[in-house]
Amino acid sequence: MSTDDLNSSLRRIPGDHHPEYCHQCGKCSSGCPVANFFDFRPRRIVAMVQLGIIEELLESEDIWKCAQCLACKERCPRDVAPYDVIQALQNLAFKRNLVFPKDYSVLINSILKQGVIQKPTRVRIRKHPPPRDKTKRAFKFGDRTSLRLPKAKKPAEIAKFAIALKKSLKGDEK
Amino acid sequence: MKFAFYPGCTVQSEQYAYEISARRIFPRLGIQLIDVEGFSCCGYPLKNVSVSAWFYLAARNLALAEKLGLDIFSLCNGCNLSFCEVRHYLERDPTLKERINSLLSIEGLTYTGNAKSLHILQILREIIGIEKIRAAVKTPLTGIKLATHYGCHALRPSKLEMPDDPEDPQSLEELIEALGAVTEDYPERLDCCGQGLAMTTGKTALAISGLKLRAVQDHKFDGLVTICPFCTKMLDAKQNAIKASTGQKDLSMPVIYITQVLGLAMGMKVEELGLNLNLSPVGETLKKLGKI
Repeated sequence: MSTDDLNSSLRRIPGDHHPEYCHQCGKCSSGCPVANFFDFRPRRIVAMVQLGIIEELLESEDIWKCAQCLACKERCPRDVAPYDVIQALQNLAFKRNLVFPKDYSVLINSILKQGVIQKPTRVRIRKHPPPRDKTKRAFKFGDRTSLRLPKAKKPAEIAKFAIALKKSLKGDEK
Repeated sequence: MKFAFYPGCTVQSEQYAYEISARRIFPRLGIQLIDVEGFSCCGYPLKNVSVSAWFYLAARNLALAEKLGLDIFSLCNGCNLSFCEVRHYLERDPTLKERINSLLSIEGLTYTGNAKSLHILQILREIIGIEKIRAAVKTPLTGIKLATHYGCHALRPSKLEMPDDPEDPQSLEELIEALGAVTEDYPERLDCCGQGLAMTTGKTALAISGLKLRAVQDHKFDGLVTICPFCTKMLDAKQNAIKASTGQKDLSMPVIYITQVLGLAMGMKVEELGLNLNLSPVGETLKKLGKI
């Protein structure tokens, strides 16, 4: 795909992203919680989009290292919304089946099947204060029923729900 | 006042302490929680791969609430942000709204935008009000110092009428003081919990959570008060994993939902508030308060 095509594909993904407004002040990178751990810099990602180096971004794992804290979007003095730039790149990478965390496929299947990301799980129920006798177990297991919580919610007609969700996953553009 | 109660996937599948304590305290404060059959995921987990799926899922839940003539009260920062953000986009983009409505019609639903979503801080501060909360206190939480953790998605982006100031929120502080406990500012107060990275780089997510907990512990707080199930999943439930992964063997910080703290001050018991479900050492805080 040409740079122009990639640029217009990015623009068509809904969001507040305006890489063209960026004047490279660096406020986004300086407040980014991930920048301490990786060579991940929102400012550089925005600069690369500005320069049309998009294909490379779509094929790198870097765009998936965002913690989604939204500090860059909140603090940008030029309304670039670096987070939204990254999100649009991620959407495009997924759509073109390039690099994206494979767990997303698991997540999508789970929502398609049951309407939610996971089924209710069993949890540990502790005793406060813990039993004095250390040989006794300090917890037992419980679930929504034993905790007297109502049934977890899910779509009534899962087949129809899944049809609509599948359709929505196909059409991302404005 | 009635609200369509939206616990969200994380709460209804594992963070039961939040749901139990919310169901316990809100009716006592005049908020009726209506269960809505048919609610699904809010869409937030999919926005990075498909904003379109995110729009559909968020609008779908808003449409279900709308059908009942109710606004949504969501316990999760992320779900609430999803609803507010998607509503914001659909209001400004009639073509998008039309497309989403054609998808919703498959299930016989319609989205007009009449239902909105309220954050727990808005419910507590604006709907119930601090005076009513102060009046409900039976056993003040004297003698403990609590840190607050709002979570990024409670406060950003501020252009969406978020419940508090994005850089200096005070509503949790006000609430904690109304309950008789002490709180104070600390430099890492607004730092992220790292959960957003769990899917791509779990080790980094744990490291970021570890930094937050370390800070709270070093500032000598007796507990950390949270409002988001995703943050709590990191800070409360993953404390052992954080210890192992970051080598901070001495890390030990009770992490407690605001609803649990409120309930304790209202005189409710440990089990009534699901305090036997927290995985962090909340027993220490309960001991200090004379609750166990």
